[in-house]
Parts: sequence; C-alpha cells; structure tokens
Amino acid sequence: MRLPLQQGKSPMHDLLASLLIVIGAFLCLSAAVGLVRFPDIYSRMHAASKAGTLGIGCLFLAAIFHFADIEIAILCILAIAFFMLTAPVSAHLLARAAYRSGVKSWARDGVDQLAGRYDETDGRLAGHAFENDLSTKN
Amino acid sequence: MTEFGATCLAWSATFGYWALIAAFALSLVRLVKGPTLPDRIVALDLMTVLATAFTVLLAIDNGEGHFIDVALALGLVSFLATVGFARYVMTRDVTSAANLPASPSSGLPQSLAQAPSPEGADASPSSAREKPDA
Repeated sequence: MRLPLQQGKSPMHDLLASLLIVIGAFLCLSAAVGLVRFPDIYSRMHAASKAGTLGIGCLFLAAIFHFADIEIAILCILAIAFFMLTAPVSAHLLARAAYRSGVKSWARDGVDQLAGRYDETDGRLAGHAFENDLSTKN
Repeated sequence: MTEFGATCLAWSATFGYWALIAAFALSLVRLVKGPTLPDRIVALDLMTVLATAFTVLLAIDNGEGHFIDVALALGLVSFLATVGFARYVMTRDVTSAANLPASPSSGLPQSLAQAPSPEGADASPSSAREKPDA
C-alpha cells in the first residue's frame, strides 16, 4: 500500500516532523472550514490568509526537521519568509479591490467606517492627517 | 526505536493527506457557490496554498528533497495570480453587475440606474459603489 517507510536522522527528528505535519494539516483544514462557514468576503479572507499561511509554515518547518539538510533548510526558510510576506499583501489588495468594486460586508457587522471616504476618481483614502499635509489630491 | 519514528511519520503523513484533501473539497465548495467574484478568488488562493502544502507533504513522505523547489515555485506563482486577479477586480467594468451578490434586491436595478449617469465613458469602478447608509 505505502512506499517503504521514510525516516529522518533520529527518532526525535521524526517525532517533531510528524507533530508539525499534524498541526500544519489541521491549520490548513481549519482555513478551509472558515472559508466555507464565515459570512462575508472579508472574514473569509481573514480565515484563508492567516490560517493557511500558518499551516504551510508548519509544513515547511516539518520539512526542515525531517531532512536535516542545510540546503533544504535554507530553501524552506526562504519559502516561509516569502509566504509570510506575500499573504498579507495579496489579502489587502484583494480586500481593497472587493470593497471598491462594491462587495458589501456582513449586514450584522455594524457601521461601515470606510463609507464615502474613498476618492471617487483616484481611489485614495481621504481623511488621514498625512494626506491633508501632503495635499497630493488634484 | 527508529521504527517508532518512521511509523509515527507515516501515520501523521496519512492524516495530513486526508486533512488536505478535505480542505481542498471545502474550498472547492466555496469556489463553486461563492456569491461574488472575490470569494472565488480567495478560494483559488487557498487552493494554491493547499496544493503547495500537499507538495511539501509529498516531499517529506517520499524523502525527495527536490519537491521543495516545486512548492516554492508554486507559491511564487500563486502570489502573482492573486495580485493579477485583484487588479482585474479593481479595473473591470462594474456595471456588468456580476460582482454584486446574487440577491434580487441589489445588483441589476442599481447598476441600471448607474449606467446612464452623466460621467459618460470614464465611469470609474468606485462610482457604482453603494453607500450603506444611503
């Protein structure tokens, strides 16, 4: 049924790697559950980006402990850093695009404090002090 | 004693495979029935993350370190895809009303009321945004 059993350098490496695999896979699963169960796009994005990033970070850590090889460790740390850097950027871009294209938040969410504060033409967010100082709006 | 570590790793890899398959199925549900386009884009983003996680798990389970390269490349591509989709959502013509929720109250009448606005050809995407307190 399975391939021959893989093992790392020591039983401690194997134990740590299997613990991190279980945690990472559970976090990925909870990200998907949140994606299905949450009420609007913004909370779904919260679930998918945060829990998904943490889950895949745990899996890369498990790869580091399993292989115990410096090249693979460098690659995995690079991948973790990349995911941690790009997940908030892409989630922010997507949330901003969704808000500007008219996707409403959950009806029981309360007050929409961004309402009417985006500039209609250039899409800048008005009302911050530094923008009033710079006055780059034309 | 080494047998214990290997068995532990095999069991956790099996659990990880099934958890990732279940997560894939759940995000496929959101991809099919997501009411707006950004919902589907979030589901696609999570699906690429899950595919990356699956690749890492395959690398561990097969003892094949070269699969980590595949996972890294897949992560790069998924970020670019999400950024591209976000640009597309922001710049496309919102009067097509495909991004609004499918409820009959919002969507088509609002966009039809917005279409003959005096802004003419250069209607920006934010011009059709509904004010929630209006």
